[in-house]
Amino acid sequence: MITGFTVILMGGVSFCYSQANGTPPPLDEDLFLYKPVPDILIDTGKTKIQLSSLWQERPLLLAYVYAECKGRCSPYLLSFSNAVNTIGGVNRDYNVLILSFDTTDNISRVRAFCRMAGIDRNQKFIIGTTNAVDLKKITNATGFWYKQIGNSNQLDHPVQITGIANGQIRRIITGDEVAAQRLNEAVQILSGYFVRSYPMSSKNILFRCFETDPETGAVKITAGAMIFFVPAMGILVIIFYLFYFKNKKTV
Amino acid sequence: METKSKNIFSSITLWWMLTVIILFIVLAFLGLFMRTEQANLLPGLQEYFYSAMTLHGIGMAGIWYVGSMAGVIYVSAKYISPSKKVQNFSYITSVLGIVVILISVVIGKFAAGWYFLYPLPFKGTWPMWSTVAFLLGITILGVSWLVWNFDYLRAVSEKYKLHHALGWQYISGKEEPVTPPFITITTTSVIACFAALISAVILIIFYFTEIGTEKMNDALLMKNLTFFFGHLIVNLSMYLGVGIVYDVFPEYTGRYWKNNRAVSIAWNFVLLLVLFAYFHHLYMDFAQPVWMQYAGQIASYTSSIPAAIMSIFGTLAIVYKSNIKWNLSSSFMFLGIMGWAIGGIGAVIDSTVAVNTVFHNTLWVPAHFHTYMIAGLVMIIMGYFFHVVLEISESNRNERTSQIILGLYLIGGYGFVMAFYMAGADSIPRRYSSYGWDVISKGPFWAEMGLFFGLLLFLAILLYFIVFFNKWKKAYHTLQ
Repeated sequence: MITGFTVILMGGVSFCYSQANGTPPPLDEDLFLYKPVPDILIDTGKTKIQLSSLWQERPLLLAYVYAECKGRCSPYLLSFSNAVNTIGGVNRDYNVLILSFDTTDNISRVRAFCRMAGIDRNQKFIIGTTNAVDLKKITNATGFWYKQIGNSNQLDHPVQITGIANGQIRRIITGDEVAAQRLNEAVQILSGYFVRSYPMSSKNILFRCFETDPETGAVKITAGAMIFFVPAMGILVIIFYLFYFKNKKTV
Repeated sequence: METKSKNIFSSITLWWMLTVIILFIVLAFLGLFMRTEQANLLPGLQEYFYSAMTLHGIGMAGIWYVGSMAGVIYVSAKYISPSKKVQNFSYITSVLGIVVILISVVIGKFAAGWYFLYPLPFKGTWPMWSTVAFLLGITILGVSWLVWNFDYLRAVSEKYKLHHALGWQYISGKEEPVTPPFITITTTSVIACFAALISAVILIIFYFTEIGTEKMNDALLMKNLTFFFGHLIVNLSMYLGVGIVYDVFPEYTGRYWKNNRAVSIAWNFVLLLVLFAYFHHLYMDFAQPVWMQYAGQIASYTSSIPAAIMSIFGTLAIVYKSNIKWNLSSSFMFLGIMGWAIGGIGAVIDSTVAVNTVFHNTLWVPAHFHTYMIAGLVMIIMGYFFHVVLEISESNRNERTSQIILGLYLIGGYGFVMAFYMAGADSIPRRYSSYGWDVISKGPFWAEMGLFFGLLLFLAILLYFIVFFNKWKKAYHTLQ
C-alpha cells in the first residue's frame, strides 16, 4: 500500500511539474502506432505535392525543423544525416522529408538551414513547408508539439523522426542522437520486415526472467526466473504435507 | 461401500454434465459464428469476432477440464473418498466464475483471447472494468479448482502412499499392492494440474499488482506463466479423460485393464516432463534462451508419445477379439482415444521447432488443437457422460439414433478440422476476423468448408443433446 501510495504521489508530482513548465510529457509511441497520417500539401519550392504521393512511392521518414532554430535542430539534423549516410537507401528504399514547423519559414531559408546543418544536396532529402492548417493536422497526428519561448523567435520543441508506411505511423524515433542502428530498424519495420525488440530493464518492472549484456549480448538468468520454480515448489510442499505428514496409511 | 460412494456423487455429476453440455452447445455456436465471419458471410459483425474468440476459447478449455474432473470424481468413488462438500463448492464457484467471465466478455466486450496474453488485457478497446472482471472470473475459477485438486490428492493420500499411487511398485518389478491405472493416471495428472493452477494464481497476482500499483510486468515472464498454466490445463484435461477410459472401457469389453510397468513408466513420464512441454509455445520468443527451446521440443515428444502409445495400444488390445458392446458411449470413447492419436500427431508436428517456425501463426495451430479436442477429449467425455446417465437411469443401452449421431459427428468433426489443416498448409493466418487481401484469398474458401462441416457437427451435437437429455431426465428422476 505504501509503495502504491508513493508511486501515485510521485506520478502526481511529476505530472504537476511538467504542467507547471508547460512541457508535455515524453511521447508515448504506442498511442500513435498504426494511426493514419493526414494527406497534407507540401511546398517544396519547385512544386507542391501531396504527402501521400511520398508514402505511396516508398516508406517515408518525416523530421521536423525550423530555419531560425538556434538549439537542437542543427545537431539533430547532422546526426540524422550521418545515420542516413551510414544505412544508405534514400530514394530507393525510403523517402526523407524535412518539414518546417514554423509557418513564417520560406522554403529557401529552410534549405539554407539544412545545408548549414550538414544535409548534403546529394542526399536527395525532400525539404518542404506547409500552411498553418495542414501543419496543425500533421503535428497533431504525429504527436509533435512546439511552443514559442517568451517573445523570442525561438520555439521549444522535441525532436523526432516519424516513420510512415501506407499512410500509417509505424515507428517514432525520439532523441537528439539518431543511431544508425535504430534508424535501420525503423526502415526495416516500414518495409514490412520483423525486427526483434525486447524492453530494457526498468525499476518499474516487478520481475524479469533474463538480462542481456548490451555489449556482449550474453543472456543472464535473473532472480525473476525463480518464479518458474514456485509452482513446482508449491506442489512439492502439498505432496509432502498430504502424503508424508497428514496421512501415513497404505493400501 | 462402492454403491454408496457412487450415489454420493451422482447428483452433482448430473448437474456438472448438464452444465457442460449446454455450455458446449453455446460455445460451439460461437465457433460457427467465427467461421462464418471468416467466410465473409457476416459483414458488419466483425467487431464481435475477438470477444467470441475469447469466450469460445476460455469456455471450451474450462468446460472440458471441469467435465473431465467431474468424471474423474465420479469414477474415483470406487477407490477413494473425495469430499462431497468440495464437489458442491467447486460446482457453485465454477458457475460463479463463468458468470463473471460472461459479464466481462458479453457486456464489457473483453477480447484479449482465452489466454489473455500480457499486456493485451491492458491495451484493448474494452473498458478497464471488463479486464478486472475477466481476471476476477479467472481468480474464482483458479481458487475453486485448486481446492478441487487439493481435495482429490487428499483423498488419494488417505488410501495410497505416493509411490504406490504413482505405480512405482510396478516399475520396480513388483505386482503388489495393486494400484488401478486410473489412480496412477489421475494422480500424475492432478499433481501437474495443481502446479498449473499455482502458476495461474501467480499470474493473476501479477496482473492485479500492475492494476493496483502501476508497476509493470515482464512480458516474457508473464507469457511463460500463462502457457505453463494454459498448456497444462488443456493437456491434463485429456489425460484425466484417458484415465476415465482406462476404468470405464473394460465394462464394455469385459477385460480388466491392468496396471503394469509400461503403463506406470509412461504416466510417470507425463508427470516428469509435461511441466516442460509448454516451452513449445514460446518458440517465437527470441529472448527465451535457446536451451529452453530445445527442452520444449524434447519434452513435447517424451511427455506425450509414451502415454499416447500405451493408451492407444491398450485400447486396441482390450477391444481386439473381445465381445465389446458397442453403443454411443463405448463408440465415442473408443474413437476419442483414436482421435487423440490423430490430434496428438498434429500437435507433435507443430511442437517441432523447424515446423513451428513456418506454421506458428497459421490455421494449422487451431487445426491440431481442434482435432485433439473435437476428435479426442470431447468424444471421450461425451461418451462417458452418456455412460453415466445410462448407468444412473439404468436405461436400455441401444440407441437407435446412435449411428446417425456418430456418423454426423465423425464427418462433421473431421471435415471441420480438415478445413483448418488445409488452410494452415495454405499459410492462411490464424486469429483473423476476416480475409480481405489477395494473398490470403483462400481463407474465406476454407472458412466456408469449415462452416459446412461445422454445421454437420453442430447438428450431431444437438442430436446428442436430445438423446442425452432424455436419459438425463430419467437419471434425475431415478435419484429423487
